[in-house]
Amino acid sequence: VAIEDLLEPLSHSSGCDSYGTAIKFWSRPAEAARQAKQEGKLLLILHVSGNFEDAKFT
Amino acid sequence: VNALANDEVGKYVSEHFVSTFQKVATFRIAGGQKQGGNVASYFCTPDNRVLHVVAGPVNAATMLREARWVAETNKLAELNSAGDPAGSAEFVRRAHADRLRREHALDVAALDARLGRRALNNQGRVHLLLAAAPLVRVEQVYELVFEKFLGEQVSTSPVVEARQ
Repeated sequence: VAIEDLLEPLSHSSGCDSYGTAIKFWSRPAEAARQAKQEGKLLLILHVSGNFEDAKFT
Repeated sequence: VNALANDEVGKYVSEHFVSTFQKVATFRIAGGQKQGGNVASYFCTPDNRVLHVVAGPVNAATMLREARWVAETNKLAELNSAGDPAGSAEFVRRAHADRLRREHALDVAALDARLGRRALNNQGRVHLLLAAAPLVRVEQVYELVFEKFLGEQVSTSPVVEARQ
């Protein structure tokens, strides 16, 4: 079994997706903040009307 | 959201930021047309302190320019403050005051009663807000930004699709 196959479910559970953009988004702001701190990066938070996951509703 | 689909924006943002999203409002869909709705992009420190806000949708060039400004301003703030939070806030305050003066012809050092008659666009309002309250936390300003700057009601309601 390839390691990627084992990790695949974990990558989904972490809630990361690009949602049709060129950027990977964390679905939970708290997790994103932890990740930013860990990676020494800043945090980009989009506040949207509607559901970001569905382009029709954003 | 279209600016975020741009490859150059995606590359730069991914290198310097960890990204997330939050639904803070809603809109209606009537006759297949979207009514209302907006977006605010908060560039923050990892502990949710606001370095900058892009209020409303912008094109890729603007998003890239603002993201670069944030990243470089933050680096300079770190360099100049040597880890002192108050020093960092003061640097960010001065950076916003400088943009307010250069791009919106408003000098915060000379603010007086005439301010009430000045018509600032949303980005001018952002710079004024963050010149007055640098590194404020997101939860302290997001209602102001969405309701007063963008004219949208903050809401936990789901998107409503009106029946034909």
